[in-house]
Amino acid sequence: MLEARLEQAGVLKKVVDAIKDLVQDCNFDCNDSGIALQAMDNSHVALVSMLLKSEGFSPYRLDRNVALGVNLTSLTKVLRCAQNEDILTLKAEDTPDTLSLVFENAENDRISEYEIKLMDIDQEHLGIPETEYAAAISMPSAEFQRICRDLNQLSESVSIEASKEGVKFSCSGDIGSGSVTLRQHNNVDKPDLSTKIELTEPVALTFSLKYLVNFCKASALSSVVTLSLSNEVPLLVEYAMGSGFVRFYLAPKIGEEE
Amino acid sequence: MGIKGDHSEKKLRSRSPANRGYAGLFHLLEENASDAIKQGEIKQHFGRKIAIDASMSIYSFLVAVRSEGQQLTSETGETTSHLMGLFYRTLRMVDNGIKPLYVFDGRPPTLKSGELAKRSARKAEATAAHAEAKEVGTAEEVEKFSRRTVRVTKEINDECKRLLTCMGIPYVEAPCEAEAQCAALAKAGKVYAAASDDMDTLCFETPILLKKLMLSEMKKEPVQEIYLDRAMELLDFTRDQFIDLCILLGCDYCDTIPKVGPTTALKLIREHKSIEKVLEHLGPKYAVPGNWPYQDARELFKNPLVTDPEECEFKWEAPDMDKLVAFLVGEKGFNEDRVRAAAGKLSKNLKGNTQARVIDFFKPVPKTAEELAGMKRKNEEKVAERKKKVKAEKTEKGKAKKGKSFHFHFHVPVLCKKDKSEPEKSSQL
Repeated sequence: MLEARLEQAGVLKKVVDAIKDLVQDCNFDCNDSGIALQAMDNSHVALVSMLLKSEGFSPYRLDRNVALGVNLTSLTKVLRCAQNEDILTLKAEDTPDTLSLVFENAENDRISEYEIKLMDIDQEHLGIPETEYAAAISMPSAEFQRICRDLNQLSESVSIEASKEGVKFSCSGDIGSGSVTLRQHNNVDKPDLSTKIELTEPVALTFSLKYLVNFCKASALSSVVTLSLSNEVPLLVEYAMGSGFVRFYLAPKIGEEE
Repeated sequence: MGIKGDHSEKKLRSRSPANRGYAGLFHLLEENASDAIKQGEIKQHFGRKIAIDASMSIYSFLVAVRSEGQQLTSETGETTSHLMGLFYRTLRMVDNGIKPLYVFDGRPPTLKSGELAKRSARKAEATAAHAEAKEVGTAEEVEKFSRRTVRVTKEINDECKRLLTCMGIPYVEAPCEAEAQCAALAKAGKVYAAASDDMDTLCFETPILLKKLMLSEMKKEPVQEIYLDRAMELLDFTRDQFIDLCILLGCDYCDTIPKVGPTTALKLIREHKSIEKVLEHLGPKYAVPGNWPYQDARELFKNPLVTDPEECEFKWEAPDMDKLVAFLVGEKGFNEDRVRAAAGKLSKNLKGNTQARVIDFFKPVPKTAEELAGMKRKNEEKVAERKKKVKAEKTEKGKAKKGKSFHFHFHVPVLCKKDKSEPEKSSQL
């Protein structure tokens, strides 16, 4: 059986909120390293990979690896019944039909218990190769969210160019064009507001803004986001948490071959 | 390349109860290998090149694209249903980012002559019935028989090719069966999938078959995607066994054995592995057609006459607006504004970047033996559950018919204690 206790229900709430618009049904794979999830959107353009490490739970008990097939809309409904500060415990049998969620509120001694039905999900698992990215940009997640939202008003796609000088997000659409450039800088007082660029070679790629705006829903998870790019491979957008991560991979838009 | 009108008239076949093949295989997969079928929206296929069985599509347009039961016609009375259908449905695909490649039938294989003769006979029957219905029948009957008299003539095919050329959409002409050519293109990776409502395409080994791609927007039906390898895995069949199963279910090339339906066919191939062995063990109850050419049918599926996919050349180009307007508006009386607006979409969707997919970069981790076993087990559970349900429904009905006295006589209280969920037991008593 599985029993995993999370000090703050808010963590799971935010994780599920971040991915529920991209993926409808997916498996939460529980094993010794923690609770992991990998899923693609319907069109197979983007992939989300999430890990909540076992260290993040106290305790984390698992007798046998188990895949919990969950409808994320249903899970969201149940998680709405939890407050961010509630203690959350996930429980499931070895071959479960349901996942049980218990929310404990220390302040007013309230215990809420919910169960959601699980489903059989036949999922393809993709092997994500270790990649040395040509450019890794870390920046405030709120800043990235703002840029994506702003540019999305003008165009469907954004070109991201990283060079030694900085990173430039630009787009052009029917009504006109726009661009935002961030230069590398270090904020000593508030390190989370720094922009860092690690670069081995300049890169320029084009991506769908619709997807990026969608990824930005994970901004609540972390104040810093890392964008990793190499020419002709999917973009990696990573939100790191204390004991885990949510990573989004987005396939680029490419020019015609002919 | 000679194009015989009758060659593409498949829709009719699936409507006639004597031929269960197409519906048969799909339902069989739905019931026994449901994970091999995926439903999705048309837009999920953006950016993909898809080979389409043109002759079948054109036939279905002639049958389905109608107004008040009549085929659409130009002012001079020429039929335009096929052009209307082809133009707007192609546009819908292009609008969703799909790159359609049409494949036209060539000369039908000789083995199909039996089937074709039957179709002609049915057609003649329908024509007679249509004439009669016009005299004495209801409007409904007239429409029904008029649909059945539809034939795809060489002129219709040529007009469709002309339209495609104006639209900048490529087509290839198959030496023989279009489905076989579509499958060969998909198998060679030249296109993502073959699109046809003809399940035979699976026997020609297309890795992926798309059904219902060509339906009109208004039907709101999902596109069905069928994976051949998954289907064979779940049925636990080799390709040879799969083909033999399809022959038993009914294909274009030979008759079926009377009284062998989908369930029996599946059971027979599961048990005996090939038609040869099935025939050895078949009881006298079944009358195998004399001179049954199942071996030739099998050969046609395994080594169909197709053009080497490497030699097929096709390119998507910008539409020729002037020619398109001259043809559709000038000759066929289409609305000019609509044609121009549509053609604008054609050129817009042609250029620009294409969205790649993550699966183009990250490859699926092959399933472990354990996972595969799990998949099969789950599939078997699903099949068993469905059977149980069907059986339960049947007994439920049976009970209702027999009435209450049945329960009264047999001291039901004992049964009641058990559970309502075991209705089979009560019928066994």
